Amino acid sequence: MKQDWTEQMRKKLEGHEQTPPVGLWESVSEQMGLAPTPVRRKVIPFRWWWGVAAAIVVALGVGLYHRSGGTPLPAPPRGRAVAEAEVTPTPTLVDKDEPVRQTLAVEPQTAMHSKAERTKLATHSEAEKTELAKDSEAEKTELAKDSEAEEAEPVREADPTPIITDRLLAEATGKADSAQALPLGGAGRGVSKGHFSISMAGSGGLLAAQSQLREGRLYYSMPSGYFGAPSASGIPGASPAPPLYSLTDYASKHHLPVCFGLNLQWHVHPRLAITTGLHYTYLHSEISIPLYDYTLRTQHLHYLGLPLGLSARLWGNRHFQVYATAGAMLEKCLNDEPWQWSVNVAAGAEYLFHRHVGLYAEPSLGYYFDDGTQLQHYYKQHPWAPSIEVGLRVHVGK
Amino acid sequence: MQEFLIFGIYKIEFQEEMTESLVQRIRNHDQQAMGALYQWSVGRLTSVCRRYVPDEDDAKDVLQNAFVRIFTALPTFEYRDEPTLLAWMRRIVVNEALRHLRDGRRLQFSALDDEVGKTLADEEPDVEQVTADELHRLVTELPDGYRTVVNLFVFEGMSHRQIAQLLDIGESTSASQFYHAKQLLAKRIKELVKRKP
Repeated sequence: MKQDWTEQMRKKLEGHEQTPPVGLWESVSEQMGLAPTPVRRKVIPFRWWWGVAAAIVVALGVGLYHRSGGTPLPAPPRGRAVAEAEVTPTPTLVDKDEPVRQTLAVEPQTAMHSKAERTKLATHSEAEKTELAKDSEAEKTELAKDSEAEEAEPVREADPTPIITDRLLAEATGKADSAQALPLGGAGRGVSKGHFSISMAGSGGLLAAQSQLREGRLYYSMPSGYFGAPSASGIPGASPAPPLYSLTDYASKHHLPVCFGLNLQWHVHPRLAITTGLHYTYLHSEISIPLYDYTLRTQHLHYLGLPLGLSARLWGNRHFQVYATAGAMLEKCLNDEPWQWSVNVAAGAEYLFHRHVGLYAEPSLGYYFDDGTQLQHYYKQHPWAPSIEVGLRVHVGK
Repeated sequence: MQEFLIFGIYKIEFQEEMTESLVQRIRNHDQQAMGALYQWSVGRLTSVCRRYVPDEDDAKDVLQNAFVRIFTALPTFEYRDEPTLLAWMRRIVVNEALRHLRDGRRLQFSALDDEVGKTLADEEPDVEQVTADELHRLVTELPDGYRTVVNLFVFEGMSHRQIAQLLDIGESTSASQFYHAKQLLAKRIKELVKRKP
């Protein structure tokens, strides 16, 4: 059935906008007794972009520097070592199939609105109040009538409704500085105080952050389980313990960590959020002791970590937002004693393809502190750990 | 630890748009929130208003009154979602515009001898060939009575019966006004399309 042309006309004018009459807001403010605040156009906060870009460049630069071949990593391992002996007679540990390093970083901040300055409406004169009350009543009556009409035949002009942002707040009140010209969220998408976000993410190491073949000397026995483990390990799949030895040359290779996790972000302030969550990290290493038996041994370490951090929204609009995070994480090795502390900074960007769901990418730089044990793994060799986290974030709230 | 419980126990409620918090802030007389709501809606409300009241000065008066009513009545408005809020605001603008037209005795619903020929009804105009701005302008150029009925019938989705009650005119008058308005608008759209290269 052919659509009536007036229906086409209605659709065409859906959401149509026009420039408001000059001085309208000032007149409204004056009539309502609000403080005179001229409406200004949005000032695009370019400097945030530069700040974020600089942070990313610095993070990448530091990471690349520490990953480069010319950067020696600390001393020969004091190693607690090999667990699982694979029957691989080659002493070389160069693996062509590098697994992708994955790390979970701190949950980024979604956009939030700035704190509103509460300003009481100036008191109307009694006459004004009475008139407004009357008008309000009349409006209600009229609207009620309209509402009935709507029930019978609903209003068809369903304009698209973009999200209100703090940018609007700033624009409308003449305080559109870069710090305020930030949208939600929301979702976008803005996230107001008290809301939170959930994200599921994995992260991958930078391409430059390849694990290195390292050689050194072991000074400890390697019964089983881990590199240099002092006693037999009950780890499933661990190889039988090799006999005691000392001063044996060895070569090790630590694969890029794999990390998955669930992040939670609680917005305690329009711009700030506390992030936490639960992270799982898998560290895979290989080692051979050519002078001993030429076998290749592998070590599998599993960590559960509890991150805690702070995320700050830097810039955003309806579909895109940029943020920075900083935090620390305490991880417990499930195989052995060590507790692993690390700190992390990141700059991230999120694209909201749905009002509540966004994809994000987050280059980060972490530093892993020495856990005080002889356990050898990736982070012992690479305490500076740049990574790129990608994930899906769901914004939920009250 | 609400955030942990949501995975298993809590009902997950998706975050509403900021408009909800904005409405709440306006209830607390937050001036910035008022400014934000104004900015968010003023472009669309201006378009609606000027379809009824084309003159800029008059439109400004109407919009000014409408926004004051909106901010005054907002505390009693039960927020559901953004479309509902916008529809409510638009109805206030429309009501204010109608009030303005009535007070100014601008609403004349007598049959006009307009430029429309009796044979023009057969051929429908190609609306796709004109822009939204052009369509908006053509609507605003209709005589007051025609324009009002077209707006209420086409854009507000009201029936002729409802229009008749609202404008205190006969139902047949509303239908007749709409018929003539539609003819005139169709003619002007066709002329505009014809002039386009």
